[in-house]
Amino acid sequence: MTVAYQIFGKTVQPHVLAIATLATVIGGITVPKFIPSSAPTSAPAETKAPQAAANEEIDVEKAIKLKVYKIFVIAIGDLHIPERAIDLPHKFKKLLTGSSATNKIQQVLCTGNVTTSQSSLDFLKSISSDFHLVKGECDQDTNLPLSLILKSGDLKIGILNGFNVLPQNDPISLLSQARLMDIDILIWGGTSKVEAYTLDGKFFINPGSATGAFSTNLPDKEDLEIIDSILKEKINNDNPEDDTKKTNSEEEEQQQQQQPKDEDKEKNTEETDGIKESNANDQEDESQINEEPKLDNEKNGEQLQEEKSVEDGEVQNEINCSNIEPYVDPVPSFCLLDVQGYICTLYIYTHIEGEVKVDKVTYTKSEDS
Amino acid sequence: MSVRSSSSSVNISPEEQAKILENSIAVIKQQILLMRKFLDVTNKKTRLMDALKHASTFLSELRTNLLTPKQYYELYILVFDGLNYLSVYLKENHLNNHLANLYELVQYAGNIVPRLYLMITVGTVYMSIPDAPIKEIMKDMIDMCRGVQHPIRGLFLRYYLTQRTKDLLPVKVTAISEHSGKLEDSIQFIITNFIEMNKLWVRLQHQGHSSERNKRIKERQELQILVGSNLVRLSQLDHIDSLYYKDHILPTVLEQITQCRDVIAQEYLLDVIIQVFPDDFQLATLDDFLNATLNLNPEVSLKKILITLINRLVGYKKREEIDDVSEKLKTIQLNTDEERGVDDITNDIDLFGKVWNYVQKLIEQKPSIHLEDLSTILDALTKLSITYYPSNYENLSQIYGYAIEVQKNFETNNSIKSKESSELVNANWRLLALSPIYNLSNLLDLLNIEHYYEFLESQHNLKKIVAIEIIEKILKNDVKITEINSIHKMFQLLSFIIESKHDDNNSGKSSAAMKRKLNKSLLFGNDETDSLKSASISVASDNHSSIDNIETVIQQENLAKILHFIYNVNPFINFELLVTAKSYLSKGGLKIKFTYPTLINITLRLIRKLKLMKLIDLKKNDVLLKIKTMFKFISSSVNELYELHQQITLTSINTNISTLCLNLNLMTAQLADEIGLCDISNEFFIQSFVIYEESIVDSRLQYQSILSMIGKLHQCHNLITISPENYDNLITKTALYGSKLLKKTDQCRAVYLASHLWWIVEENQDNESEEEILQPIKKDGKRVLECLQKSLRIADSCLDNSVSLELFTEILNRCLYYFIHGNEVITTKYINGLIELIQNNIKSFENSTNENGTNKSTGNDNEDENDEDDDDIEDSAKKHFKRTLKYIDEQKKIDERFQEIVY
Repeated sequence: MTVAYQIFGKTVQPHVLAIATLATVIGGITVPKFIPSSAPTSAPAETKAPQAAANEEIDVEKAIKLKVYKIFVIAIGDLHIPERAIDLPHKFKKLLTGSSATNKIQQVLCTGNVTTSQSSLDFLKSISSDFHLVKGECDQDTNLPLSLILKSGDLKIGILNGFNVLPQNDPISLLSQARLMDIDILIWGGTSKVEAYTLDGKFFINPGSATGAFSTNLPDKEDLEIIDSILKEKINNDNPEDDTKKTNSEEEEQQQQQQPKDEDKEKNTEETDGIKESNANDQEDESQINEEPKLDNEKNGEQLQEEKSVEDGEVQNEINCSNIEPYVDPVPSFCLLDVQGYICTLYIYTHIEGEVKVDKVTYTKSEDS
Repeated sequence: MSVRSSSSSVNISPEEQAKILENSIAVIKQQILLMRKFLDVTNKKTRLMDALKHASTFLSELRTNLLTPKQYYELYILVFDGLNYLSVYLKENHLNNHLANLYELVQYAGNIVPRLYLMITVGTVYMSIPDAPIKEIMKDMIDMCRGVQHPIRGLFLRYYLTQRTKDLLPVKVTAISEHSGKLEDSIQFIITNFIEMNKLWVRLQHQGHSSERNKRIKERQELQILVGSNLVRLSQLDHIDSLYYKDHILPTVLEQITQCRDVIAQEYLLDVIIQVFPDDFQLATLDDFLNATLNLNPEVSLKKILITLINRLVGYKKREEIDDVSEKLKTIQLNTDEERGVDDITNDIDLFGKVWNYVQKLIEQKPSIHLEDLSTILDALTKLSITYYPSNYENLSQIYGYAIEVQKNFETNNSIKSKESSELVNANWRLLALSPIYNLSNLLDLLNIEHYYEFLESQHNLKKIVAIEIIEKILKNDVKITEINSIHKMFQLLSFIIESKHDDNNSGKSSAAMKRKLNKSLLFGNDETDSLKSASISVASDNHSSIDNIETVIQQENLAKILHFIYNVNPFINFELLVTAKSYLSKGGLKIKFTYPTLINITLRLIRKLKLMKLIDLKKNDVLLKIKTMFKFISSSVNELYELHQQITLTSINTNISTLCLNLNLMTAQLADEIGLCDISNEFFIQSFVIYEESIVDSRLQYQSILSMIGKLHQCHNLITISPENYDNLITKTALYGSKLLKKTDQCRAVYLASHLWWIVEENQDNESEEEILQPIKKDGKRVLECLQKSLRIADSCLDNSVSLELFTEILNRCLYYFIHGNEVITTKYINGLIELIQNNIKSFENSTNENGTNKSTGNDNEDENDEDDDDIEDSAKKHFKRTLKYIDEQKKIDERFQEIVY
């Protein structure tokens, strides 16, 4: 067994090192304009230079050509409306429907799981008439293709929903799928988790879920850690004597601070719940109860009482999930591909705490492949 | 003089009128020029008397009664400019010409119209001079104006008086001297003028031929602003408080309005009163005003007046709220007194009660009031109540209670209930029904209005509109529904959209037909069962076609979205809320196919949330019980959905619902595994297998379903470790399904993909070395090999060589996957063998195509095309193989194990 591990470790490490999971990259730059201003044309010329140094004229021509064939492609999917989400974040909608977007986006590639909502399908089609959709696991339309291959610039792009590549989300199975389809870029979905990496000269993009739809797949470890830290902090807050600050990283503390309102709110409800609870128990704090004549609190109280009678544990009465609510679901995201000849610049749009953040990754098709 | 004979005015044509107007304009312009020449200051001999003479001449043009009010107004404008020049001159040179004398002098003008215009001109200049006997001048002018009794001429003359005196009326509360006059005099002056103007205006209606009645109405409407200007002026006076207004101004004005018995005057002037006087005045005089309106001409539309008034009051409250905020920020101490005063007024007066009583009186007085008017008034009342008493639902209940009563009366009165009349009623009640949805700041307050639901109950169309609006409002305003009670009430309101029975009467009829047939078949034995079946089919198809139209789909999608707004911070309570919601949704019949998936997904998310909160402790019985209830809830929901599928498949090949149910079961199984409830997970997997066996017929769907099963089973790590027997059962079954697929290609792929179920490793980060290590979860290399062997056999059995070749290459890639992942059973020897097999295949294939090539000349065209197609597939398969070999070569550089692969 151990031998296998070692062998495995040696062999696979090169791939693994190449993997850059971007889902957790939170610190991005916020770009006010949706479509990035036209990239310098020198970039393709540079990469071409060593190849054909003797014939510069052709290079220039190519560069001009490349500029002409600059193509913006949107990769989006896993909306799961209405089953798991109500709608796209408002800011995404604005980005995708603004005039700068509709004029420049030539193509929309959708990774599926959208067809139960006619309205969202119409929305996606409205972004560009050149709209391609593959069948997702939850799509009911059997006429949809399971995968598609399209040519964009000098790159071949394949698109599919993740459920038909097994084992799901495995870089090596995805790689062999890309080899089968003979493509340079593979866009897949189905996981609600945004990812982008290069492996063996091919580019792999998962645009994630544009609505941040819940997924039955296991949650990310990073998300679990954040939630754990929140839970820990809550316990600390509940026991003020336990003054020793726990090992929360600074980042998580910041996130905590960014939602003071939520916290306050939830504290309030927590308190009132607590009061109701004591009321049900021993009727001690009557004066406080009178200060809370609100109907809904009372209802809660009743509800809680009922539960209490069912079980003897006290834990349920204090349950309050609003703290972790923002981290339960995946981060809403989609991708914009800027294809110029052999180069694809990928812009990953994520919606974190009400703000749209953009990360940029560039992929260049290697010459020999 | 002959021009002025009243008889001639009747028979004049518009062309003649235009000509007269043209002439008059020419005369006036010329005369004004002449007048200005005499008044020119640079001209040393300014002769005022000559100037006045010319002024008198152009003023004489205003004596005509041949023009329409509009045309007359054109003349008036010119004249006004001319007289303005004169008055400026008089004001500048008043020391040379004693104004008192001049005032006397102009009275000698021959005709009354020029005389009075000149008098007003001089008089108003006189008023502007310090120490002038303002009071007397005012009195004199207003008295003299009585001299003109022709409506149009009189109205314009008095309008001239208003305009001229606009800034000269005394505004001091107490008079400085005996002659200077005070505020009270000004008020008296304006009111008198108003009364006189109104009389003239009303008289216009009764002049001329009765056949010109409509023309008169139009003319009067053109002139109404002249009369209204008095009220505007009155409202602009400072230092009048609401008490004075209530005691001295309004009663006189209202008296004049009620006494004139004229519809146009009453409607217009009451409207002006509401518009021009300040908000708090309106509030203070509400009673007086409302009472006065009860004595109006019966033809007056009280609805219009009342709605204007209510809108004004509603606007007041809203403006005040805005002011409150901004003023509080600026100066608190300054406004405290005033604010308290205002608050007192609004608090003391039971505004709603007053208006309500008034409406009751109104209805008593006019029992024949039009239903449309009544519903509009009630609509305005809801607005009033919501604005002033946002938390007083009794008012609203009262309104809707009354509306129900009216409805009933209406129905009994109109015993012939044609479709159109009921539509009309709907249109009338619609506003009233939607009013609280639009106006309530918190939509959930709607649920506290007692008679609201009852009010909607009798009218289906209304219910539908209301339901749609409610949903839209929830979606727009992000309204969270947090209590069981609210859910009950909310879903009652939405019941029209939820339930299917209202949709079409056809299905009801055919179901009745079906029942009849059913009875028959019971009577006559089994012969009729066929017809029974067809009857039930027609029912199902009716229902089905009705629920798949676009409108319903969108409605149901929105309804499903509403479920996301059911929220409580405690997932257990949240679940209770969902259970309540489901009890309503379940009435939807076929429509549950739109809503249940969402319901199930939300429940799954709740379970995930509990897991994340670390609240799922399987050792605690109570917690376990609760979690199990949730899964039971999901299970029963899926079953309900699945039963639906059996109904639908009677008529169409639509198996959507079965795949949907299968997927829902798989998702639930996955989540149950995540929280460690292996038995439940197993149960849900079995359920999805049952659905697969029973009702997935389409071969494409079968293949895709198997892929989903493999995908989900592959991730169920708890199931593997905790109950391996169950897991083995499930995966063997899945592989078996795969091998039984219709198409060879599907079979082959499903089997080699199923091999992954016996080889599951998890990537874990080693804490110490920070290296990725793989933790085996299931390692059964032998079974993997068996699967691959089986898929090879299937691939080999394909008749089409190119297809076999492609499948071989795919299996080779699969082998490489296992090789990389360290599966010892997949040896280099095995891989080498496979490569050799493929190469041999290619060789033999090439040979055969070469043979074909030699025969090409003799073959017909069709064969040629087939060959080309084969070539394509073969080509792509070969390319895929080449790419795979290239990949192996590349791997040799980084992984020495690959060195042993030779070909």
